[in-house]
Amino acid sequence: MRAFDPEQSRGRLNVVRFGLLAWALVLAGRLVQLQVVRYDRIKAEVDEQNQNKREIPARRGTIFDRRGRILARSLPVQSVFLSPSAKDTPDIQKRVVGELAGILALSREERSKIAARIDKGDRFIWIKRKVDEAAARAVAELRLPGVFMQEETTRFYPQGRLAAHVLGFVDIDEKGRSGVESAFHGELAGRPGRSLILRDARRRAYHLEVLERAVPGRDLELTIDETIQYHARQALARSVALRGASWGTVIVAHPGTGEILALASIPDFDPRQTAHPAEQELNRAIAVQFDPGSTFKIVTAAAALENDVVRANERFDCSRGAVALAGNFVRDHKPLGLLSFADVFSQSSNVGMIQVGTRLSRDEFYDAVKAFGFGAKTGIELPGEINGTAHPPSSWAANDQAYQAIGYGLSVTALQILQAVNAVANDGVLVPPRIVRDADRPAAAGARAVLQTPVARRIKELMRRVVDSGTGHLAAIPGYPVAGKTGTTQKLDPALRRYTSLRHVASFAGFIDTRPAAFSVIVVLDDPSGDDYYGGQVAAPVFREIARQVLRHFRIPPAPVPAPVLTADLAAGGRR
Amino acid sequence: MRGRLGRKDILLLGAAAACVVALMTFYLWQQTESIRLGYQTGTLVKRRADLVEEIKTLETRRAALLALERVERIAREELGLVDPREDQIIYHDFVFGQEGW
Repeated sequence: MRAFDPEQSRGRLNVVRFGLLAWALVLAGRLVQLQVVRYDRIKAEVDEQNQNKREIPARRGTIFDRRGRILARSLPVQSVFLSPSAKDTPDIQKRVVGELAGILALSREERSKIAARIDKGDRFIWIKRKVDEAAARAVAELRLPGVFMQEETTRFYPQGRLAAHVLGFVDIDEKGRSGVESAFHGELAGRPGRSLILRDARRRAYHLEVLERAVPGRDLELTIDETIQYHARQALARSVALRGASWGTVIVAHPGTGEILALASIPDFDPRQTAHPAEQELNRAIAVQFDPGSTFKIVTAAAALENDVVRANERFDCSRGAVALAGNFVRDHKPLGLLSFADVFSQSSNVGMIQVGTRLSRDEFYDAVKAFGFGAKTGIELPGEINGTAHPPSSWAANDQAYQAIGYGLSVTALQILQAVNAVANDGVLVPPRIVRDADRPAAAGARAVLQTPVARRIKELMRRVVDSGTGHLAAIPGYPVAGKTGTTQKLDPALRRYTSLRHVASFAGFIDTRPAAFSVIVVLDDPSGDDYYGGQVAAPVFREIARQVLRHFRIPPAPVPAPVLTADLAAGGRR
Repeated sequence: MRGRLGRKDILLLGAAAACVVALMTFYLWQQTESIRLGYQTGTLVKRRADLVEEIKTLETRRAALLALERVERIAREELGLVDPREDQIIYHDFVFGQEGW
C-alpha cells in the first residue's frame, strides 16, 4: 500500500485546477465568440430557424355582375419551390426536379431554366407556380428534399370568355393587365400584411402573431348583367362567323343611367390564360375607330332640327341618286326621288342628308358633334379608350361638312355612337356610360342636356320609322316599339388612300322606345364578306336577336294585339 | 457543534419543498397547457380560414357549373330543349317599362 504524499497530491490538484481553469477560459472564450463576435449571425440563424416573418397576401377583390353573380374571384392554390439545404448538391437538386417533371408537366424549357438557376447556386427557385390540387397533393406525398409549397391565389373566371374585354385578365402575380382588372387594380389588390410565426425544435408553429394585418382588396360590382352579356356575345360570335367578318362588337346599355349591361367584342380571349395575342385583347368597342356612316345621320338630323334649318313638310330632291363633291360622286343605294325629311332619314339618303347637313353653319354642325361627345373619351372606366377624331371647322376642306353630314371624314368608337343614341332615347339628356356600380356615385352622374326634348322625340319618331318602313326593318320585333338607325360605311384602303367599295363596316344602333327607354344596343361588324354587307342586312338582325332576348330577360311583354274589329254583314245577317 | 433538526423543522422543510414542487409543477402544467392551447387555437384558426376558403371555392365552382354556355349546351344537346315560340311565353313579374307601353 502506498503512503499518502501531500506534495504529490498538491501537484495533482494544481494540474486539475489548471485544467479546470483552461476549460473555463475556453468556455469563456467560446461564449465571447458566440455572444459577442458572431452574435448577429447566430441570432439571425436562430431567428430563421424559430421565427418566420411572412407576408400575408391580401386577397384580391371579387368582381360581381349587377345581380351578384361571380365573374372573377381569387382562390387559394399551391406553388412549388426548391429551397435546398447546404447538403443538397446541384446533382441532387436536379434529380429532385427531374422527379417532379412528370407530375408538374414541366416543359424542357422550364427544366433547363431551373437547372441554370441551380448551377448559379440560387437558394430559392420556383419549380411551378399555381399548380392544381391533385398535383400539389402528389408533390407533398413525395416528400422530396428541399421541395416546399407556398400558398398563393389564382384568378378564376367561372364564365370563361363571357366578359373577357370587360374583366380583362391578370398576370401570374395577379397584377391586372387589361379591363377592370387593370383599371381598378389598386382597389382590387388590397395591401399585404406581415405575420410572425414562432416554431419549436420540431418546426411546429406554436405562436402566430399578426404584425400588420393584410387589407383585402375591394369587391367590385359591375353594371354588366351576366345573362344579357351571354346573349349579346353569343349573337355577335354567331354573326361574325356567319358573315365572315374580321371583327365585331356589341354594346347593350341603359340610356337613363348610362349603365352598360353588356359589352363584347369578337375575337376575344380566355382570361384564364395569362398571355394572349394583341389582336384578341383589343377591346374594339372603345379602342377601334371607324367612319360611322349613316348612324351619324342621327347627329346631323338632330342638329338640323335643333337649329331649325328644315321644315316638316319640306321635300328634298334625291332623284338623281348621286351628288358630286369636288369630282367625287356620293351615291344613294338607288335613286329615291323627292323625299320628305323623314324619308331622307328613314331611307338613309346620302344625297338628301348632305342637303340637310350643309344648311347648317360650320360652327352649328361642329357644336352638335362636340355636344354629343364625339372626338373625346366617354370616360368609361375601362383602359384603352380612344378619343376618335372630330376635327374643328378651322381645319376642314371645302366638302368636309358634306361628308361629315353622312358620317365620313370623322372617326368614332362604337361606344360614342351608342352614347349619342342614348341621348336621343333619353329625351335629349346625355348620361355618360359607366361599367362599375359605385354607391358613392349618383345614378346619372355627369348628365347633360344636348337636345331639346321635342327635338329628341322627333328624332325618336324618325328612328321608329327607320325600323317600321325603312332600311332597318330587319330589326323590327313584333309587338315592341323599336327605334334605330342603320349604317354602312366604305372602308379606307390604306394603299390607295381612298374609300373602297369592296370593304365595309356595317352597323345598327337602336333602342326599345318605351318610356323610359328600356335599353339600347349597338352592333358593328367589320368587313362582312359576301353580297350582304349593309348594316340593315347584317347588323340589324343581330340587334333583333339580342333585343328579343333582353326583352324576355326583363320580362317585358309585347304590346297587346288589338282585338279585331267585328263588322256585321247586314246583307247576310239581316236576313237571318 | 451541529444541532440536530427537530421533527417540526423537518416537517416545515418538507412542506416548503412540497410547496416548491407544487408551484413548479403548476408552472410547468400551465406552460404546457398554454402551449397546447396555442397549438389548438392555431389549428382552429387555420381550420376556420380553410373552411371560409372552401366555401368561396364551392361558390365559384357552382358559378362555373351554372355558366350559361354550359347550361345551354346541356339543355340543347343532352336534353333536346329548343327555344320557345313567342306565343308560348307567358310574361309575369314585369320589371319596368309598363308605364310607357
